[in-house]
Amino acid sequence: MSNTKSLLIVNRHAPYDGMYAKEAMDAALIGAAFNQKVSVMFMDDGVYQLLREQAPADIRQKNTSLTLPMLDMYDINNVYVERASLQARNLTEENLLIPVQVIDSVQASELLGQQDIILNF
Amino acid sequence: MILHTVNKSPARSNCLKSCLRIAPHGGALMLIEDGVYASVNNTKHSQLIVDALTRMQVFVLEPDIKARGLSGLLIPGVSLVGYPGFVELTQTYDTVQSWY
Repeated sequence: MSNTKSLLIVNRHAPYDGMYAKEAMDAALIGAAFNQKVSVMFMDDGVYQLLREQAPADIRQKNTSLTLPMLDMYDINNVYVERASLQARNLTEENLLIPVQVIDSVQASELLGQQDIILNF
Repeated sequence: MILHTVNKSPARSNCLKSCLRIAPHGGALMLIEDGVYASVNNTKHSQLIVDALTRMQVFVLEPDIKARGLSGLLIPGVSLVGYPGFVELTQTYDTVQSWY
């Protein structure tokens, strides 16, 4: 029996709203380090985690967006963003720091349905 | 006059809507923390602030804008203030009402 499972990390919180963004990234990278099949999805205010040019020094927080390129380094290539969440915030892929796959709500539903494990942040 | 502060994203909470039922009748609005997402232009929620601006001053805490990468995305007419400006506003207005 294979020990590899599909793991989806769902991000729905804005970047400096508690520790959600950091903990989601930790979970994704740990999953990848243990050779699991990791996907990451951003929706609702979670899409704000991907914005370019975050500069939180003045609010005494760490820039969580700086760790986003780690996803690629850990070979996590399945990074999804729900289109309606971008549109509701007047954002496009050009506003985002890393390459993503923009998916509609039907595709998001299919993505959720394909997983062995879903972790929500 | 009252300074109303809102610190929650309009997508996650009704704080801003509740505040804006009351605040324009003699007060100003100060958006802080995730409340600053309401000041981004052409979003699903920006009309709330566009309407508010016709009746009251709307201040936004600049360090929270910079932290979130929102510079350049704001509704025209909102006023950026830093931490010292925020402190001054709390002294200028009679009371501070926090919506959180």
